[in-house]
Amino acid sequence: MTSYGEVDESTLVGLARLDMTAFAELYRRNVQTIYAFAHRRTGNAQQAEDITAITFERALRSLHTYQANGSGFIAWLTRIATNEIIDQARRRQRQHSERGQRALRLLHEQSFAPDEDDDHGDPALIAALARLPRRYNTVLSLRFVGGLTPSEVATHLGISPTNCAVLTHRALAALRKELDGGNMR
Amino acid sequence: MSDDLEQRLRRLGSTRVPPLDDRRVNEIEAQLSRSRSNSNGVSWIAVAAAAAVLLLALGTSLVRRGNPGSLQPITPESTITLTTPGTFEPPSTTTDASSPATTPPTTQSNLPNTSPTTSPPRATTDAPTTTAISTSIPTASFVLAVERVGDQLVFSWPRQSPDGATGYALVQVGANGLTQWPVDDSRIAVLTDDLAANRARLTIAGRDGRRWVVAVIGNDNRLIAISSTAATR
Repeated sequence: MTSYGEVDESTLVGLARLDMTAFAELYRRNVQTIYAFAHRRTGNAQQAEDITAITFERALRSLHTYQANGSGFIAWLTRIATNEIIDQARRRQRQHSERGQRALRLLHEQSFAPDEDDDHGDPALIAALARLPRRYNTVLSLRFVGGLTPSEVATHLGISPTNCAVLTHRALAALRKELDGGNMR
Repeated sequence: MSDDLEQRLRRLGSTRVPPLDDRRVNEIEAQLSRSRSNSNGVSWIAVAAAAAVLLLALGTSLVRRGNPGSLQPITPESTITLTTPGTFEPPSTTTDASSPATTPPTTQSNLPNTSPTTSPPRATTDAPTTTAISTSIPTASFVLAVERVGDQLVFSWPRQSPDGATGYALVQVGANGLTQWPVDDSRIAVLTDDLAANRARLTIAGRDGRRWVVAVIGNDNRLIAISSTAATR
């Protein structure tokens, strides 16, 4: 039986393009990290499970497009997870669009209600992130919640480190505005 | 002000969350396996079609050239580097002769017994064509991956340790893969008795299409296992 336990990540990614056993090893090495990221970012265990499953399924389908580019496989997975988190939030928002923006926010926050028995972090912050434009949401999620370095974030967004710093600054300003607005509502 | 917000985001990123339980981890893994199986079912149609086109093109090419074989001998300018886990360095245009687990480049011949290794390679009398008994070819049991980096081909495979294994041979094969064993010496690009090796670098001038297999061999050049076929250009 082939064992990939000691194979380094870059080799494993190459092998995983052809061999499910190699991908399974990549999955086992990263699944808890992605789950934890999704759980923190959504505050909801069930949603985090779904996002984790979808993230790895998408990674499996898109593995041929993966390029290390100086950042690790986990950074790529985190980006996929972030996209899925944002997409799910958008879908929920669309479902309730007829109820108006104010009602939408209330419903949205309820639908992302954190688990009662979890130390779920910061629900107001999670809700405010969900209301940000995708690019702002992504940069803040990757940089601060996912713990990627500025250069990794820049690489995954396809922008220069300088532009990434500017984007981060603007995203923080937008988030603050959302939080301040949320507090007044 | 932004610092406070950054700290708040970082706190969110370090919130303690319970791990995903083993049952769910296994469920998702099974789901991924099914997903791969299903997608393979579809892609095989495309793969089969592509293979048919390639075979047709290859056949046409051979007829035109009147060349009965498709194998090209490993050229004398080939250089080989073997790498064991923990000693690999990113491929470069120069071979790494300082690493204790690597094989310095050979510039005279591609034959395995001319490549000095930390563990002496087989003697010439052990060459597959002279001593081994013809054996049936096992089905591929592990994957050989390859990528080109400049003039170098970087092969990688998972370390194998089946009973009786004594080393690896990186073998150039024809369009049908490895069809017989032993093979002619000229088809063996790398031969090592270092079972910890999981990579090999090969510098080959030119970009002719070639196909490769890693064979796991035992005593008396017994063929124990083979990898999938990897194609290079």
